[in-house]
Amino acid sequence: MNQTKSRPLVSNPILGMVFFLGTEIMFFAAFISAYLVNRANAGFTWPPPGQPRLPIEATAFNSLFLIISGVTLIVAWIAFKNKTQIHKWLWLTLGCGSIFVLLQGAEWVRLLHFGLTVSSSLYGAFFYLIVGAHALHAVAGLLCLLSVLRQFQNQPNLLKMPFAIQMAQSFFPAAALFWGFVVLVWPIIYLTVYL
Amino acid sequence: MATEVKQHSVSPHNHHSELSFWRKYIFSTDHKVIGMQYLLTGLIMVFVGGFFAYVFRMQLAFPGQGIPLYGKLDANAYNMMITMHGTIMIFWVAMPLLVAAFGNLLIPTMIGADDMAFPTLNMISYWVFFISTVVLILSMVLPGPMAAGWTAYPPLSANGYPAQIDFWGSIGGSLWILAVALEFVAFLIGGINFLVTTFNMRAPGMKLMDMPITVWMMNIAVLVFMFSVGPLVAGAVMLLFDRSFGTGFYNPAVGGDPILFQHFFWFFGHPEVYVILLPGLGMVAEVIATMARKPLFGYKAIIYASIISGFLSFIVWAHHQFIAGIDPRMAVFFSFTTIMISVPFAVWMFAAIATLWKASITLNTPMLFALGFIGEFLLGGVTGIYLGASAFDIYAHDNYFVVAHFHYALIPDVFFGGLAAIYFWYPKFVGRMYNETLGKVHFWLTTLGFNMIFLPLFYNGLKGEHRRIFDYSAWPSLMSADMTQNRVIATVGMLILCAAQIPFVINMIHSARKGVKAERNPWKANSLEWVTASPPPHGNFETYPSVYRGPYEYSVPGREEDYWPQHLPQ
Ligand SMILES: [Cu+2]
Repeated sequence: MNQTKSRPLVSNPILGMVFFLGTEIMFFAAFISAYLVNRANAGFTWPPPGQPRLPIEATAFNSLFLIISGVTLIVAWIAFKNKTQIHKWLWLTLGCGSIFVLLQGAEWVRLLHFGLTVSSSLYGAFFYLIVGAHALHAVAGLLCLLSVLRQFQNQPNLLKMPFAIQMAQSFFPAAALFWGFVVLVWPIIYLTVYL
Repeated sequence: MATEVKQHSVSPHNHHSELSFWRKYIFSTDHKVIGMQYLLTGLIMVFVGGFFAYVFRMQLAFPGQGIPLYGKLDANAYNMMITMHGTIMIFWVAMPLLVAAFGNLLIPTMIGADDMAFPTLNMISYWVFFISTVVLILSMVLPGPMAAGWTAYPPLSANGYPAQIDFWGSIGGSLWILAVALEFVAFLIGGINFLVTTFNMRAPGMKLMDMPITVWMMNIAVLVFMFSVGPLVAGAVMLLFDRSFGTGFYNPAVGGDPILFQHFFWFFGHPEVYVILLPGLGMVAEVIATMARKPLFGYKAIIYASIISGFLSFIVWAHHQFIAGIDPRMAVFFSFTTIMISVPFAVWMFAAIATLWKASITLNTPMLFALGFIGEFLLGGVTGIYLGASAFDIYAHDNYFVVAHFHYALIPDVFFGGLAAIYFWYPKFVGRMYNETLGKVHFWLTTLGFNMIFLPLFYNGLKGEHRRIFDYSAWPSLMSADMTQNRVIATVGMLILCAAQIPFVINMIHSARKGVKAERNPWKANSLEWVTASPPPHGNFETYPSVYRGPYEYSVPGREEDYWPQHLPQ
């Protein structure tokens, strides 16, 4: 079937993920622009008086774990390319990503306790909306990375195949792109929503 | 994703041969079955949306009287029905029919591929769409259905921000939002599939500029969809939060901004017009070139014009908000871009007419519908230029002139374009010929009924007939003899349009069982889908074709036959 066809420039899973991320970028852009418009409309009453302030330093510390997970992902990519041990780097990425999600969750519980809820003010509503959307993406990304690990477990030969076949058959490139998006969109959210 | 790729590259199709009924027709991964599933679902939904139109048009012509098959209509049900009519016709008819069904049927067969790039995702796409259909129907029967128009502007769509949120009492409207969101997920998955398939799975020798115009148009449409849908989903999530948790994103009482939703909605809503229009333009161009036996005039110009209109469609959205209180300077900008965007369409129109010029035309049913498309859409396009000028729009806003305008844009595209495509590719994918006489009856009755509905409405709109009124008898200025008469004419036209679909249904069902067996290439067309058997077998081609030329080499001088299929070597 179609053997005479030349190998595509970009493999199917990667191309599909790139198009999907285009949609994702527009999705987050909409949230952030809605937030900025509302904030500009509110003028000097932003953040609203009587509402707790967002934890800038604690979140910066949490973000460190997300950024480390991005770095370990790059190392995992190099290992994938060189067909060397990839598992430990994937586990590290997964671990750091999970710590980020858990610490952020603990932060949410504290904020809810202080009286910042979705209906307490628009400030709270936008915070939970945007950071919550990012959290959902982070959890989905972690599940993708887990499925990559399971795939390498079930098909140990996959890592030794020619690179082009790896690219076409492994979940890894698409999952890595997705996790890269989760890591890269976070600084933008931090800069606009927290600061 | 990767498992599917493996299945396809490693093992050929023989493992599909002993599939059970369920895997073959219900949970199939074959793009042709999925395309047919989308087509049938869309055709069933057109009758649901059409029934609502029947009920509210009867109410408008004969206010307060019992309606056959329904009974007496109250204002709340009327609002629900106009909302659902718009929602269904755009999202559950136009999108599945023009984009999902024909994209699935045509893209792999036209580019010489065995299936989509991600067959399992393709199946998931249809079943997500199916679930969204079920949720939509639930949303109509549960308490508190959406009744704020298909655009669902807050604060109306957020029930006017009551002090106490009644979650279960307004569950219908929330499910409506969920249904639309699920539907977008389905088309997002499908769209990714279209793009990756087109980029990576073309037959050897097929360059991008050798692809049939339909494949181009489908892909441009899908790209426009994918880049515009994110903001609408974001806006819909915020609306759902407002309804369910009392966030107040669009509630001015707590500092929110209701106009923000309009921006989100129309940032998607206007590109959506092109998502629906471009596939229609592509398929109609295909029919015209084949039936006129001439090369499609300006193939590349059409493609470039469509790409430009795709870009422009992202910067025209505020023409829907001229009276929402936007800055007049902004209105001038959006008027300008709106009038600009008619230029790429004019290019297509010119190309279509130039293709027909001095051609020997076969006037069969698909060609009649294609020519009908050109004539009728012209009226929708020209009135669009009037409305694009903000000065005129301020007067015409929310009256029946607008309603008639967008029906003259959408019905030629979805009905005339979609039906041209259905008749044209019926022999290929059903394997039998349709009945030509019934087809022609269908065309003439549809044209008559359609024009009878909407021509009088242009007139009534200019006389000030507001579109959000349930019973005009309370408005003496709108009850003049000519306006009342026009309302009755429009309703009679609607009944004719409904009756016109009877020969269509008979034709489709009867011909599928008793029609003459179709040959491989009944229209003597050039593109690759006509190379294979009718209907194509699993895997589409017995031997995979290579491509040697573009798809529109008709009546080439010095050749004995008047067509030159893409797969024939020199
Ligand atoms: Cu528009």
